[in-house]
Amino acid sequence: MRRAIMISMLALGACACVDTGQERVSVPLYLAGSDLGSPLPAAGDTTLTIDSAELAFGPLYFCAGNTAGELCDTARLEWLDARVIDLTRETPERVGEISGVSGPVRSFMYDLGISSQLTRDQPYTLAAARELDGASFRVSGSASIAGVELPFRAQLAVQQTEGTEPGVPVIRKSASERFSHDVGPDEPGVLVRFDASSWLRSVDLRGYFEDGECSADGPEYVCAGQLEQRCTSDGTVSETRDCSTLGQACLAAKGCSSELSFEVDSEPYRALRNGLLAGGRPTFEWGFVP
Amino acid sequence: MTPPVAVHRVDAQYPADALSERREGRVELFVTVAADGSVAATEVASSAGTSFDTAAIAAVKAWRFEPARRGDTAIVSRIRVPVAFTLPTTTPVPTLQPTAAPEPELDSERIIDVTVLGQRSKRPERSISDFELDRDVLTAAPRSEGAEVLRAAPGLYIGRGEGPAVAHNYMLRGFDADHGQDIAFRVGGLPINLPSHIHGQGYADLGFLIGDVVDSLRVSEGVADPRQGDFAVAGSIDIQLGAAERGARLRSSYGSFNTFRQLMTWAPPEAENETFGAVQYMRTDGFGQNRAAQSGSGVFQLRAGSAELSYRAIGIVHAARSDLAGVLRQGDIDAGRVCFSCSYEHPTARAQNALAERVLLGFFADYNKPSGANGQWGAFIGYDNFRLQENFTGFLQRSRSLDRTSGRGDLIEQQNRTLTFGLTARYRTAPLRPAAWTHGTLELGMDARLDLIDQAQNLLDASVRSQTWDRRIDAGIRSADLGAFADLDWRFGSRLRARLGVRGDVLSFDVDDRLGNFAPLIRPQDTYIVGFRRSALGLAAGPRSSIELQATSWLTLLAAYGQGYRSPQARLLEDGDDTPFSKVHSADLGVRFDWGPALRLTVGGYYTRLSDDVAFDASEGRLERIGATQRLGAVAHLITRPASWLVGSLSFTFVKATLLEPPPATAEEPQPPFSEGQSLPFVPPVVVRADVSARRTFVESLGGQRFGGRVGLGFSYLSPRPLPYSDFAAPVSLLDATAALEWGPITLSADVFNTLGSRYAAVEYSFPSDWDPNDGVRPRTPARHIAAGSPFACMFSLGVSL
Repeated sequence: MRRAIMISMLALGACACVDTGQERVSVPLYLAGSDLGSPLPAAGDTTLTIDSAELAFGPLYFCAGNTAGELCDTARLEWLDARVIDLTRETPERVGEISGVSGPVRSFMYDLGISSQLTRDQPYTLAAARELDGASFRVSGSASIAGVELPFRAQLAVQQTEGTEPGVPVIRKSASERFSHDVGPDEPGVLVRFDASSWLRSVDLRGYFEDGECSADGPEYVCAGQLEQRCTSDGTVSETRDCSTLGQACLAAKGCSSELSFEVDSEPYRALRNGLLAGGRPTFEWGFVP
Repeated sequence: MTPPVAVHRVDAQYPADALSERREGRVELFVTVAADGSVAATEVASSAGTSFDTAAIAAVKAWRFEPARRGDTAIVSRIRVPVAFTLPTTTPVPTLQPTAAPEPELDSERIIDVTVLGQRSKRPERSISDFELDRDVLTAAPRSEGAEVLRAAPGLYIGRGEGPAVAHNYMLRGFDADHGQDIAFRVGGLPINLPSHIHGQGYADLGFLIGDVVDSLRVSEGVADPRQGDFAVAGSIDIQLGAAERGARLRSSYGSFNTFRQLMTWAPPEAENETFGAVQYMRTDGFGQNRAAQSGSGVFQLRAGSAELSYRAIGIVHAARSDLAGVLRQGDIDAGRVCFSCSYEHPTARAQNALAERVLLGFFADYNKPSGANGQWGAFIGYDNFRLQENFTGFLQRSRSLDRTSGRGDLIEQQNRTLTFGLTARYRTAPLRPAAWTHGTLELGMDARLDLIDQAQNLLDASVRSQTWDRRIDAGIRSADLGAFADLDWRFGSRLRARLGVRGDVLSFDVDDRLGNFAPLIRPQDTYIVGFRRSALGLAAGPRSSIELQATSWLTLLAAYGQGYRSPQARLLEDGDDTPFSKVHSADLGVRFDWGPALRLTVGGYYTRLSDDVAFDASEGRLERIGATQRLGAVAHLITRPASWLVGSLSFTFVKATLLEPPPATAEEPQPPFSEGQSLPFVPPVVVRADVSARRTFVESLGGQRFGGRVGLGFSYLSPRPLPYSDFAAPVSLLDATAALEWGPITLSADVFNTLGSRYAAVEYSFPSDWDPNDGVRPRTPARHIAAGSPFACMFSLGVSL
């Protein structure tokens, strides 16, 4: 036994100079939002004031190849958790560590709290998305358009669908994006920062404030300015009321409303979804130290 | 067998020049004694100078012997005869013909080597890394299966990571040879490696080997011998078969994990050692979960004919089936989610199993002329059937054939069937003597084989009666290998020997890839018919040379250099590929100290460079290419037989194995990380092996029978192995022990394996996997995976000789 130990020590001495190239690494991961305090100009003459914006973010993968997705069955680094990011908060928050092996990374992919898995028919909802009532993104604030100010809120789930690619994260680096970093064994940290303003700027709320006229096959309510007109089935106006006296605003097809909620498949909803999927990507700051 | 006895001797004439110079000398000759007692041939084994050599040969040629006999049959033999030329101590009286004083007697102690011709004669070592291991060394330690005789080979480590129906994992000389890709195996002259095998190029399953009929092992590390063909990258291993114990024998064994083994051998006493038959059956529950196995093997060999022309027929039959536990994530073991020797609970893990079937038949003819010319020709045929179901990665795969189908379990089914036809022939000339001070031989040889291979790879869903949910490979391969070599073996004087050889192989491949060009996402199926056929042919040639300098009778220096190759996996070839081989350059240098049977010590260094290496890819369950690699190492090997009842061997091998260039780029890894001098993972820098055995007679006659015993130990040590991503595997220390009592025809023995109870990994990998499909998100980064090594086990055996 003593001889075995001696041989081991000699062998370890020989192994001390052994280098198999890559090393296992564990890099602190920080998430942050950005300053959304100032009113945001959106499409048309709309101004959005954001009260709260939350994003369920994760899991996250960094890949060696230029294209993530199915060509990233083996990732360089991964973070399998998901957390809710306060998108209005600029101060980075450490959420854990992204682990893997050292080497160059040239692409990334991530989910927003709802992750498609090869072994499940339906995407898997992580705790962060459950915290947002099953949503990936939740925002509330007030919208100001044509002198009318109205609270708004929106929440949407971003996930792979039956028509998209199963088993891979829903958002990945596009071919035109530049992304490259050589992850070293002593990488101090990486900061992922989201700026939701680019998604929100694409929202066009003008459709909600358009005037209309009653028609036989039209909606139940139309607006004439802030006057709500209730329509009959034969296209005549049965009732009129001034929403402003109620402290509300008149929304097309909805009538007097105290807040604006983005309905699924509405134009603003699709604009937000497109912004999350294909619009402003987060920035990645390697070597970050708080 | 009784050795020859000299009945008429002629004194040698003392050379005049030596006498005048007052020189003495001692010559040792190899003398071939014919069956009629005459001297058929002589060869200088140890020279004392040309004049002494010539005088000794002239005298010995006139000797007459009572020939060697096996039973009552006179046989041809070769003996070693020392002839000493000693000057008289008194003032000599000059005479015209002073005589030498050869050794007065020829008794058994003087005969260092007795070889019965017509059998295999030992090939002289070509390099410092040539090791010949006889049966006493091979059988010193206990073996749980026949192939474990290989453990005595210096620098060789064998592991069983996939059960008895799948080939061992081999490591030799810094090469992780996987299932045989870097080692050319022959058993009884039959090539064992299977080209383009779906589970690994050069797949070599030695599961059929029955240890009781292994006579000797020749490990030729490096590629200095032109007889080494395909797959001899780290080297080659030739296993010679024979049954030293004659008669009929039965042995039943039972031990740990409900393991039972029944062996039956028969070896006619009047026949050569090479004539025997052996059959063995084994069954076991295996240690841990999902490791039950059964196997049956039969090995038969017959040698017949005369000393001048003899024939050998050999047959090997084998079948084995085993369940497989598969690999486990190290993290799951550490977290207690699965035990070290368990298997994952999922049906896709519990459905892992393997089946192996093989038949090999060979027929060889050997001729030996009294002049020393000899040759051999042979023909062989083989059939191998392999089927494996194994899941390395859990639930990561998606179907390439069925739309939006994934997560049904990565149970890879591999099937491989190979039909092989082969021919071999060689001719060595009689010694050529252009001058008195120089002589040599020329050998020409050829090997040819044709392999007809059919292979398939699918993904199975074990939860639904192994439904096939993806097809990955469906191919037919026809490969032909024609090799030829020339080897000039030349001596200059009595001390210098040079071997200059050259070998060339032409390999052709015809691949019918029935799933080739399958790309459902790019082109609709109805615009073309799936399938892609291609062919390739190439030549691999290179020198195989060595130089040997016998500085003294006990000190020899050897240097060797050779270029070898490994054929490619045929399915990876493109149409018209010219020279797709992996080329190897190998060099050895060292010294050998030889003090007869008492002690033999070999010390040397080696260098090997391989043009492109391969490594295991778990997602496909097969080997994929990596970059060029090199190995720089040293070896020390000691064999000692200090007494007739005691034998020991010790080897120490060190190697530094490095990657020389980045691995090939892929879409997933367009710029593989690489640093100069990057070590190859999985290769242990240090391998130590020790074997010792003692056999004594306690009572010469107890109840009319000999009563004795035997003990043996075998120890293997692997230093911490570098793993990918700068991980290290723990060192492995394995100690096996055996003890036996022998009373006449009855033998009672106990074998203990892994006496220290080491918990070790038989094989280790690093790749992504997902074995928790219902628990969260799949991981995508590489993780350590292991297959558990066999724990402490014991076997008790009762043997009877009839």
